[in-house]
Amino acid sequence: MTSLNKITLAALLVISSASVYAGDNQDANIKQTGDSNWSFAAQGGSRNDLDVTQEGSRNGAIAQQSGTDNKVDIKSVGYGNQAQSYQSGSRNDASLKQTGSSNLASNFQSGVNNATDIKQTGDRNMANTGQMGRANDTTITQEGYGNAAFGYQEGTLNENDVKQEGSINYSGTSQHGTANHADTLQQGLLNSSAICQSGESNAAHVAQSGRGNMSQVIQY
Amino acid sequence: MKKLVTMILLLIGLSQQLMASPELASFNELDAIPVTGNYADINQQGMDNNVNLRQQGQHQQAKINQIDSMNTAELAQVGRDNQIALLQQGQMNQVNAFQDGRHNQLQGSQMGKDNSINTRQLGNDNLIHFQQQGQGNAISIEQTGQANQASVSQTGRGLTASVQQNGSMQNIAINQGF
Repeated sequence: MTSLNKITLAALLVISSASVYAGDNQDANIKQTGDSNWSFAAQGGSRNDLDVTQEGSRNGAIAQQSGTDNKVDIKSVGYGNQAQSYQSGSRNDASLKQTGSSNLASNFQSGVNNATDIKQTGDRNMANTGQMGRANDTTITQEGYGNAAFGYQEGTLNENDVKQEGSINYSGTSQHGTANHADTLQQGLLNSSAICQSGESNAAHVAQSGRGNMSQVIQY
Repeated sequence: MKKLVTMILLLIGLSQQLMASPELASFNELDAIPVTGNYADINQQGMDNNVNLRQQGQHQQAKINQIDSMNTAELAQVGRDNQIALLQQGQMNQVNAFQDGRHNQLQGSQMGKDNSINTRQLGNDNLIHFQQQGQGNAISIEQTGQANQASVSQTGRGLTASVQQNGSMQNIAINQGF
């Protein structure tokens, strides 16, 4: 089966069942093994749960949830995998875990009390997060070489935590609003951190250990 | 008895939370959150590290710690009632600090050899209080405005202190010793 057919089939299977999952207390599980697989899943309502597991290379998972108390969990192992999740509403959780190299994890949330947790282990991985609203929380953990984490938050009482261990890692945090916190911890060589905050009562905390590290903080 | 059991359970729960990720738990604790204004806290351990800080507004606070050698810090605050607290330990560390506004403060110390700090404050009622311990350390202060204060304490050999004030009602105190 060609990769295009696989994508189409996965999209049809999951998207066609998405309307079924538009409700409460629904569970969806996707497991794909091999290369160049894609999955799409959408859930609406409250207390829904979505689990995606992919093993192989160049796989992709896209998840979309709207409502309250929803949870998405994407795990991928291999090379060149992509995980994307989009959540809107309140008290939603997204957990993206990737092991391998050249992987990409993206998560975007809007609303109140949402949480994002991204863990990447390996080299040349990238994490990209965006949150808009109030009391949202992002945690990005990366271990390896040449990883990059980008976090954007807009609103009030948001928190962006980044922990990177290894060398030549980069963390960029941008926060706009009131009482936002940015915490960046980097351990290793030649790491760099940039934090930009606008608004009032924002706090930036940077801890770096190693050699040749650079920290830039801009607050206005 | 019920209270004691409840307290023990609470303590167990608290200790489990702390044990779950002690590093992140302590890492996430910010020393102080100002009611207004922004706060930056930067800690660096190691060699050849660099800090670049820009703050603009009112009631900004920055705390910089650099431990080891050949570290640099470029600090700039523009606004009112801003504060910088600085500590460098090691050799050949360098600081350039600039504050523009009223009631700005820079306080700190450098401990080690061949460290240097250049500071410039523009505006009124600004304060610099700085201490250096070790040999070959140097400090240069320029204050322009009214009622500014500079206080320098140096201990060691081969020390250099230069303070220049432009304006009126300004105070300088320099103490150099072995």
